[in-house]
Amino acid sequence: MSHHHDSPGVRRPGRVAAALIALTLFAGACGDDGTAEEPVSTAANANDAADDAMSGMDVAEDSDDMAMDDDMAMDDDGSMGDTAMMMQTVASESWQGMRIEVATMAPTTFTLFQGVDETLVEPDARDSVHLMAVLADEQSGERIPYADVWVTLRDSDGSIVFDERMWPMLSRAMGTHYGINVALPGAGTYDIDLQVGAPQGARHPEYSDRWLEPTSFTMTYSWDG
Amino acid sequence: MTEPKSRRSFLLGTGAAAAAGGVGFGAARVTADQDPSASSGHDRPRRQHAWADALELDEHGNHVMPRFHRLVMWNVASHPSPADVDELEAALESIERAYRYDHDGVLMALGWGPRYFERFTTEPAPIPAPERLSSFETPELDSHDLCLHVASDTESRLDEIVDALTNATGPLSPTIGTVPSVLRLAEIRRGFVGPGLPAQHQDTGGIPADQPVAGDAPLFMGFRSGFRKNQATEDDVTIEEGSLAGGTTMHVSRMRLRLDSWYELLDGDQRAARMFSPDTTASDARALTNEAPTFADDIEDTAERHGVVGHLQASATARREGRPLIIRRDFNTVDDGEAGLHFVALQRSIKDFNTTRLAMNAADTATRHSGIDARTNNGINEFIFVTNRANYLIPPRRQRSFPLLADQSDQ
Repeated sequence: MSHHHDSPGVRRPGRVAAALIALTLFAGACGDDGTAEEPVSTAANANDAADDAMSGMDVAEDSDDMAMDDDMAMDDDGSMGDTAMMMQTVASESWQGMRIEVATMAPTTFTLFQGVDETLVEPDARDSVHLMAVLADEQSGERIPYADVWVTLRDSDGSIVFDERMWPMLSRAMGTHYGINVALPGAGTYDIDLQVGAPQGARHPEYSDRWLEPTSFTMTYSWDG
Repeated sequence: MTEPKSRRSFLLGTGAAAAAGGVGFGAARVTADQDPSASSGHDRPRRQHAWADALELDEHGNHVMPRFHRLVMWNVASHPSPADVDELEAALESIERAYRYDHDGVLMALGWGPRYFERFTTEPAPIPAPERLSSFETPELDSHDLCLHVASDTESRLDEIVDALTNATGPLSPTIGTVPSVLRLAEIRRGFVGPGLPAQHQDTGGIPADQPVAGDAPLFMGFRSGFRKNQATEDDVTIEEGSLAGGTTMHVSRMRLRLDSWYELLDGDQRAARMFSPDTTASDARALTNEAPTFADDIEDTAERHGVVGHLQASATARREGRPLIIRRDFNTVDDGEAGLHFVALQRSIKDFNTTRLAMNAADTATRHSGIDARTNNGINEFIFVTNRANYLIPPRRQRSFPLLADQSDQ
């Protein structure tokens, strides 16, 4: 079966995020003939996955694969590696074996799926960064979807400068993550409050005893402007 | 020693028979031992939460909430004395004497938190401690001992009352009593509800800078709420049995509203879908009279078809025999410079609130459409950040001042 037939599924964020990001990566790496499952299970971290994706990009770019048409992570020059390098980890925490990283990259375009409607969100001139939360198993590096993440940024006075839920997102270079474009009032140091929900997917036995309650962290983020 | 509760029932149980006139502003405080017939102002119903008859009705028979609200929270510093009981009661009665029992005068209800009952009464707390109520929120679980909800169409009056109650200051301080010093002020939350007020207050955090809140919107999110048939009745929420019969329970939560995406990424129909149900358009919402159809029975089907769950639709799955479990007395706020909602809900049991709030999470619908998760396309969950939750017991009026207080000698 061709992955082209699966492509409408790529338009669904949320519940199927993990399976679909993997599907996208595999389509990039191997073309249309394989099955998605096996490479998925071995894509241990985003960098490996991004490399896999890059190696097959020419194949995919020439096809009408919707996942490629909708690529959200590619730089203007089409260089996936540059995008991955542009990502900066700005803070991190550990939670019961989960690594929670806050990372930034340049403000980016993304597509939201609001029920049966799609909305293209483009960065506007005020946006400072694309802020991301990356949740992953500390041991395997596997990304953890199905959580709900809300970010609140406060300035040195304690005033809220940004306060939104982060959308569950798919990206070739970044894998499944939670992200949003953020407009900051200026260079400076901000407190990041990250509220992370209990991941809602069905769980294999090793995850049956953790991340059962939502939690929150306060981290510090310095933005140079 | 006489138990305060029984003195209170003697004092206020026959309040409706109170003679008019008699005591004017600035008169000596009425103490608990005085005969109620000697004063005016006691003609308020036995239930503190009986506001409905004192509210204006709109053209469709919906109750219109007073336009301005305050929630005043205190903690009890040490075991209250009989004098403290009298002083608190006198302060509350002084407000009732000074203002009419209607939306243009002052409406109020005083609730007590679980920690009060645990520390100062001999009965188990009649309400549970607040809970988180979702898998994705980490609200502060408040532990204030008491919370006074006071409301009026005249905002300056509320500030003056609160000043007098808490500081013995302001123009009303000779008229309105002060709460006893055993009560330590913890917090005051302020707000408003009604056409025009959100638009006037929309230059605040959480609202897009282009001020999208409609001029006649009663709430920041742009829709009306509190349709008569979407609310429980006061009878429905009244505790029927036990030592606090005639009372009710009050949940008080606080949330920030984050309406950038609400107004910038959704059109009117998409907002109506999320507030009511996917089968409700903005035009439908505008035409509502005294009932918003819930489409609760269709929630799974519409989730599959539309990839969206409505807030009302989800909440209404918690109804009992088709009737809502709670009365909403919520109002908007710009406390701390952020758009928000102080959600005040009355229900017979806190369990009824928890059931309703858990239904609003609509957690099951995520299995019906991959585009739905805890917040995404799920009612208004994406646009609210719950910061605080608290539960209170609102006793009947005659027991409102330190209800079920144990004799100190019993402790």
